[in-house]
Amino acid sequence: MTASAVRFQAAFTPIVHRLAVLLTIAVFPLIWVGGLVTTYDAGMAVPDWPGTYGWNMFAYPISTWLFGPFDLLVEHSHRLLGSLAGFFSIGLAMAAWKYEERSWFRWWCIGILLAVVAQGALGGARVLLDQRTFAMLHGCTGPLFFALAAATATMSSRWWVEGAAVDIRNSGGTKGRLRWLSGLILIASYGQLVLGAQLRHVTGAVSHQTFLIFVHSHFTLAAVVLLLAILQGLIGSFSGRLPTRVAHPTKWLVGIVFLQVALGIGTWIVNYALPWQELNGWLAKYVIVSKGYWESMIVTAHMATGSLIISLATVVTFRAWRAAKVSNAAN
Amino acid sequence: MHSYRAVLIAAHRLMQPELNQHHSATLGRSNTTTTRMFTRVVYSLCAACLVCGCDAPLASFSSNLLVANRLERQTGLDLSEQTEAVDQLLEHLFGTPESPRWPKCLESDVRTKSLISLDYLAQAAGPVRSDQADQHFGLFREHCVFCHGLSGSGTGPTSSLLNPYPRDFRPGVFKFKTTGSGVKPTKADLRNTLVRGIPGTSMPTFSLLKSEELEILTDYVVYLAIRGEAERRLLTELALDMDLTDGQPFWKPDWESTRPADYLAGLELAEQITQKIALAWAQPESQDNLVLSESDGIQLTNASRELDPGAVARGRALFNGKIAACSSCHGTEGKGDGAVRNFDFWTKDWTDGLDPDDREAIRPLRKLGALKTRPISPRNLQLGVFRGGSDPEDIYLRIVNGIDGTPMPAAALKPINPQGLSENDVQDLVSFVLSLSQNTSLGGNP
Repeated sequence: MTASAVRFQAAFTPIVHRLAVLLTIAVFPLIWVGGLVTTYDAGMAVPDWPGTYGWNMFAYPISTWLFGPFDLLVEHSHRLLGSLAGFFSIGLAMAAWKYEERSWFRWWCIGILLAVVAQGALGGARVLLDQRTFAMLHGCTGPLFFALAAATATMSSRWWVEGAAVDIRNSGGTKGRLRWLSGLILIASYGQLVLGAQLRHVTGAVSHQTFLIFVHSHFTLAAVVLLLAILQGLIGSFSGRLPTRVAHPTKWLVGIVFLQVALGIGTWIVNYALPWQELNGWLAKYVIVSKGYWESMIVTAHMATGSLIISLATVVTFRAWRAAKVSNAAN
Repeated sequence: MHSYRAVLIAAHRLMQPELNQHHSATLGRSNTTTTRMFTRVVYSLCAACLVCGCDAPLASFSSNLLVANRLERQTGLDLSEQTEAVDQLLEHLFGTPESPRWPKCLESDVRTKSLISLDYLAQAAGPVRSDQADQHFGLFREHCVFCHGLSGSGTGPTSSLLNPYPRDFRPGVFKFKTTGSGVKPTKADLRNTLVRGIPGTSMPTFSLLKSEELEILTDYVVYLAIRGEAERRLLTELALDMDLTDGQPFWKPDWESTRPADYLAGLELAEQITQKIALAWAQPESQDNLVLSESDGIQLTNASRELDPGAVARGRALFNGKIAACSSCHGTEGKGDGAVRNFDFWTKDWTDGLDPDDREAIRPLRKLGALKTRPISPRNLQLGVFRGGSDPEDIYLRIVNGIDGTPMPAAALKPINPQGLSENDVQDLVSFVLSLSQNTSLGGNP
C-alpha cells in the first residue's frame, strides 16, 4: 500500500478549520491580557461576574472601559476577549456538528465548547470567591485551552485530513524520537507553566522555604525543557527531510524555547534585581520600577511565551504522530 | 502553609480505610456509591490543591519566634505560652491583617493620634482590589508582602532569593533617614525610600504610585514597625523582668470577666510599651537643616560643580586617618575591602549568643523561619552608587548619622567630641567619596 493510497475517513471542512484557527488566534491575546491581569494584580478590579459593575458585560460604557483605571481596562478586556473565544467556540461546535464527518471530532469540538465554558466559570469563581487559588487554576487551565484550540486547528486542517500522505511521500518520513520528544517537551513545559503559576500567584502565607523549592524546581525544569528543545533541534536538523508541516513548527518551537529562557532571565532581573549588581557602577545603578511598563511586559511575555511553547509543542506532537501513523499505514 | 497541612490531613483521613468504613456504615449501604464518588471528588480537589496551592488564611500576624527563641536561650524559660498571650494581646490592641486597628491608648493621646490615618490603615490592609474610581485597597499585599511578609518580618515568600534581604520592620530600625543615629525615621524618609527605591537591590521604586498610595504604604509600615517593636519589647519585658516560673500565660482575652485585675495589668503593660514606642515615632527630629546646599554656604564643589582638588586631598587624609578611620572598613581606596567579617543588627538580633557562621547552631532557628545568615559588606564607594542616595547631601547624612542597623557608625563630631570631625572635615570626606567614582555627576540620583 502506498502512502497516497491510505484511506482517510473524512473530507476537509474549511469552515471548521477556519473557525478553529480563529479560535486559536483569539486565545493568544486572551492569554496575554490574562497575564497582564496577574502582573498588575487586577483580578479584583471588577468585583462582580459575569456582569461588570452591574452592567451587562457587553454594554459596559466604552469611555470607562478604555479611559478609566488601567486595572479595569485590563480585567474587562480579558473578559471581552474571553467572550470572543467563547463565541468562536460556539461557532466551531455548531459548524463541526453540521459539517464534520468525523463523529469523534464533532464531540471533540463540543468538548472545546465545554472547556471554554468551564474556563470562564473558573475565572468567575476567582472573582466571586476572591481566591487567588482559583486565579492560579484559571492561569494553569488557560494555556491548556490554548493547546486544545491549537490541536483542533491542527486536526481540522487540510494537511491532517488529506495532505499528510503527500507531505510524507515528499519527505523522508518522520522519526519516532521526534514525536516522543515533542510530547516530552509538551509535558515538561506544562509542568513549568504550573510552577510559574505558583510563583506568580504567591500569597503572603507561603513560606520563603516553599517559595524557594518552587523557584529551584522552575529552574531545573527550565534546564530540562531547554535540553529537550536542543535535542529536538538536533534531531530535526540531522534526521533527513522531515515532513514540512512537522519541520517548520519544530524550528519555531526550538527558537521560542530559547526566547523563553531569555525572557526568564529578564523576569528574574525585573523582579529580583541583577545577580551581580556590584560588578560595576552601571549595574549597581539599576533600580526596578514597580509595575513599570517594561517590567510588566517582560514578565507577562514570559508567561505568554510559556503558553505559546505548550501550543507549539502540541502542534508538533500531533503532526508528528499523524505523520508517523500515515507513514506506518502506507508501509 | 496551614491549608497545605489541612489538605494533607484531609487526604490522609481519606486514605485510611477504617475512617471511611466508619462513615460508610453510618451513611448506610445505599449511600456507598455516593460516598465513594464524593471521596473521589475530594481526592481530586486535594490533588489539585496540592499541585496548585490554596489560599492559605492570612487572618493573623505571625509571632516573632526568633526573638522568643533568643529570650528562651538567655533565660532558660519556655516562652511558648507567653508568646501566644502576646499575640492575643497585640491582636486586641492592633487588630489583624484583615482588620488592623490603631490602639486606643494611641488614639487618645494627642501626640500619637495623628501619627497615622485610620483610613489609610484600612486601605493598606486586607486583600487586593480596586474600584472604578481607581482607588486601590490591600496596597501592602499588592506591593510589599511578597518580600517583607505579612507582619513586616522581612521573611516574605521571595525573601530568601534577595540580596540584601528585605528589611524586617519589627525592630523599628531603618537605614536611610535624615534623623540621627538610633532615632526613628521621619515618614518623609520612608516615603523617600519608596519613591527612590534602592539601587542595586530588589527594592523597587514605587514612583508610579499615586502620592496618596505612597502615604498609605508609609503609614502601614509605621503601623507594622510599632506593632512589631511592641511585640519584641513585651516579650523581652516578660522574659527578663517578670516572674514566669509558674508557666502560666500572663494575659488571656477571657480574663476580662474572670480575672479583671490581671487582664487590666497585662493590658496596661502593653499599652505603656506601645505608647513609648509610638512617641518615639511621633517626634523624630529630622536633620533636614543639615542637608547641604550651596545657598547654605556649605559648598562641596566649586561654582562649576566640579570637585575641589584641595577638599578631595583633605578628605583622603581624613578617610585614611585615625579619627574618621573610614578605610578600616571601606579600604584605603574605598573598594569596600577593608572590613573584618561582620553581620548586621537584624542578624545579630536573633543569633545573639550563637556564631552566625555555625550552621548546626543556626539550623533550629532556620526551622523557625530565619533566613540563612549573610555577612554584611562595606560599600564599594568606587561604584559611585549609594543605596541611601548618591547626592552629596545623602552621603553627608550617612557620615554624620551613620547607618542604623549596620556597622557604619555616626562620625564623632565637634564640638560634642573635641577630637571629632568638623563640618568642613565631613564636607571634605564627601568630596573624597565622590571623587572615588570619576564618572559620578554631582547632584544626580542614580
